[in-house]
Amino acid sequence: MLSIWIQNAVSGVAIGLLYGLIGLGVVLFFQTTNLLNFAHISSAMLGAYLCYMFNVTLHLPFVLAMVLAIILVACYGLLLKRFVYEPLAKREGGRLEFIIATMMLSVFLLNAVIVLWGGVPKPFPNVFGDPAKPLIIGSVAIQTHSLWVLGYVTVFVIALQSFFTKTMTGKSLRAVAQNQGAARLMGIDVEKMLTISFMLSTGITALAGILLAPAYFVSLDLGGGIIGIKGFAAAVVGRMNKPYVALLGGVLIGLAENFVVLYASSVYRDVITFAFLILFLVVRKKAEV
Amino acid sequence: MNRKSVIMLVILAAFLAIPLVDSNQYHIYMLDRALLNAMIASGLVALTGLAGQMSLGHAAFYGIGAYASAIVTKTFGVPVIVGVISAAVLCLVIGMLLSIPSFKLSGFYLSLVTISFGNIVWTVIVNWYSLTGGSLGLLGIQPIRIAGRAITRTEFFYLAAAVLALIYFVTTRMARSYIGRGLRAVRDDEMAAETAGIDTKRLKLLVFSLSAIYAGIAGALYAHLSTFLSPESFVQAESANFVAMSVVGGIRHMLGGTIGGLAVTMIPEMLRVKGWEIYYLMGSSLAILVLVIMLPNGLAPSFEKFIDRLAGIDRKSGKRQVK
Amino acid sequence: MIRRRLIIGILAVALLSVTFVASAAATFKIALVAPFTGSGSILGEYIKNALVLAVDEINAAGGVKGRKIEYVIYDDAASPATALNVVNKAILNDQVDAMFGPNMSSCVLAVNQIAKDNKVPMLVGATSPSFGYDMIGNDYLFRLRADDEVKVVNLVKYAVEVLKLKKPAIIHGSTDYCVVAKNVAVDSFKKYGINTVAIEQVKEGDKDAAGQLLKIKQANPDMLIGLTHEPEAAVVIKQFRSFGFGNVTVLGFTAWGVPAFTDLAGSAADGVISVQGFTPEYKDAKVQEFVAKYKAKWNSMPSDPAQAYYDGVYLLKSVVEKVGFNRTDIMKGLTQVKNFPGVQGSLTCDAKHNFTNFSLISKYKGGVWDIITAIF
Repeated sequence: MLSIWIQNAVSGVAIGLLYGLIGLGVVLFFQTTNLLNFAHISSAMLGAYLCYMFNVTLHLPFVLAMVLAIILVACYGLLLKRFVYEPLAKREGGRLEFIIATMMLSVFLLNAVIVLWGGVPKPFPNVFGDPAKPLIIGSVAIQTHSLWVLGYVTVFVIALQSFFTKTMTGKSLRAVAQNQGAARLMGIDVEKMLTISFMLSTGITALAGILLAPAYFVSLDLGGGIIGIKGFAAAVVGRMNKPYVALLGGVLIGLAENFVVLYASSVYRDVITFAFLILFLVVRKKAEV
Repeated sequence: MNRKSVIMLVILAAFLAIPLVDSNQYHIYMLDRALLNAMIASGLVALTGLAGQMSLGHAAFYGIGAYASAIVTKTFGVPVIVGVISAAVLCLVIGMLLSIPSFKLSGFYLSLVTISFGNIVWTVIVNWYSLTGGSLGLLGIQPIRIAGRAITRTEFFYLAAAVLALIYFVTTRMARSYIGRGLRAVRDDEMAAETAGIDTKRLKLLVFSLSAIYAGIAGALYAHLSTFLSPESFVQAESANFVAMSVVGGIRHMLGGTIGGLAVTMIPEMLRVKGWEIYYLMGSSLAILVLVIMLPNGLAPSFEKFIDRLAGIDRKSGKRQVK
Repeated sequence: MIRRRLIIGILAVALLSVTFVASAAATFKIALVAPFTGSGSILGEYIKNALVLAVDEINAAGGVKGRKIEYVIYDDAASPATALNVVNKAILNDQVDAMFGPNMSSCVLAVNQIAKDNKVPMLVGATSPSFGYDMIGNDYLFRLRADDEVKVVNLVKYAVEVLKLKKPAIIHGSTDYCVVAKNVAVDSFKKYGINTVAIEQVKEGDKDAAGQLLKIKQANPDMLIGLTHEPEAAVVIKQFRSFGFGNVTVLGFTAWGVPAFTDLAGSAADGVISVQGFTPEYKDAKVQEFVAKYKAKWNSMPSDPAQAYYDGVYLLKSVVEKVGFNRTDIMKGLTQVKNFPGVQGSLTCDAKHNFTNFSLISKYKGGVWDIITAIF
């Protein structure tokens, strides 16, 4: 019984880390632009598919494929800024318009992927360990892939925290997010900062997509499934401003889901998780968005 | 009557004449669907454009309305009108409940609540077999009847157009009344509105339940148009689609819902070109994306400008926009 | 301003292109409605390839009764509402003579009324018993693949009678395909006096079934019946293997017997027993001939339900050649089909308007399907 409980918790943390991984990117983007990108999750999908193409189809070494994929998706971030964000900002399109534009963008990208690679999910190479050979501790199985994710996430959160508080660029990014006008007066190159934050958030999400691929496969679920919403939920639990709380939020959601299944019902799991989310949002004190 | 209203009436008459000159039943079916979508988008124009509250979960009300009317008419054998009314009442109640989180939350947080709400309703529809038929669907819903026979699609078109006109009338009247002014105050600065003595909670309750009722009625009519329901029609993406309609049409314009509903329903259908089946969603989402980027204020203001120019009204002097 | 005019121009052109309806004389026009986008997009490509293959072959050989077959293809996005839109377009706008698909049961239920009202024969590869002739009585609706009920009953029969297993646990998805299978499985086990010890759901798109599997583990079953779609099947089997279930046999539904599943699951799929509607490995002359043709044209392997639509086109052709182009005659002709030689064996229209009960029970071993029995 205890081993089942622990196994369930371990699996919950493993899937929760993946939600948190997406949540991190949401927080990063929100912190620097004060906007929400509903095509956020598409960057993860593009990252995974491009990496798959370079590595499996074109036989490039995995690390090179990964770097190329991230760079390409960061370039897509540049296009996103140039062709979606800028025209809307120029014409005073509000946040709602940005949300709808990015939602349509995510539909577009999802279908572009279907056209390019087809709808059949593809297996991702086992670079993060063979899922059939997990680490067995006692009677609990831990996927080596989960350890990779955990390691990456730890490094990333620390790096992000010090980037925002220690470096000039990081501080400038935050200043731009808080008040563009004031930041401009302080001599910060707002345009440059926005470009950086678009490229950074899409690039980092592409990496997240590559890390998600062993669990999610190279599939459309990466770009149109419920994981995008769960990533948002994780970000919200982290109040949209603390990357590491977003990560914890993701883990919390993952754990909640798995224990709802174990002790209540797998059929109504989502009802219970989402009801908790609403309750969480309503009960806690007023947010600043 | 000024020239502008004459032009508007001519356009309206031309639109209403479509089923009389076009006998292609597929076109008329799509117009029927478009009118239903326009009802929901009109509700979102009131909710978001007027009151500044965002919902990404209106497919849930659409679904609740559809299933409520279908189940009521199926179980009790009552006429369709009773089903539609009960759908509206149920959506009113649930819309009121959903407005409670909006007392405290706004913007992104509120949209996340509505997304969660949509997912909850969807999961319940999928799994409550004894009531909804679950993923197997609900079969044998009675069509709307006139004089003992099922109505034709053309008749449905006029019925839906009449309902939409009623919705337009109610929304416009509300927008111009003190309620509308209060809602705009809530949208622009909630704190200030509250300080000025406006009961913001009551207004939010009202506008949420109103938009829920619109979606519920549209859902109920859809149930009796298609005579079959299954949960796939009420997924999250549909909610996003409804919001897209209101934005494409013009979120701050009273005609926004109608024009957006028509445009976003028809554009994808027009892109169903032979040999392009896998590009079709790409094309339609791109079309909507381009529309949102190029015309962030939506089609309706441009439409009005166009009519003004036809009527020879100078925009600069005769400016009268709902802002 | 110029940009705006451009948009209006583009929209106007789009409008005009719709009102323009191509009118070619004397063709036999069919529509294919299948999912190319959305959750079911895995299957659309196979279906389309098989149908186009058959149509091209027939047209190259002179067509049907001197007429070429013309086809239109529409995407139903695996959604009944979209299916209804496109079937409306196919029947009322394109005026097709016959229709293939949709391939999803709830889509079939959504559109069957309009096909019936307009007397258009529909040949579908959807497999749920929910729209059988005994259930909804649509004269114009025919099924090209074995009914799911038949497949599940056979799978249960194999598990109980041959493998002598007694404690089934079921993991299923939430679509109609999965739910119908679950209900049939539970009922069939009951007929043997066996109670299902655990029933858990894993939702489409989920990539974690740990909670469900651990709950099943507590119930201590001797077999796991997997009734999900392909990606969830791969998720389930991978986690199942890592949780050390010991000696539990895995039996899966049709989605557990196709490459879309085995590619994802890799070595974890070893030992899975599945009921299949079709496998290119089946050593039958007709099957191998079809596989060779498909491979030559598309440079890829066919998968279930490609064979059903290939059969369907030839079936329709043979009926039209017998009765002519009248749609009601075609419908009557289809009901009288007897022993038509198809890829899925000999096809005969039964009381439920099903043409075949063909299915296979196979075991996956070292990367290939080892066929245990074929059921007709």
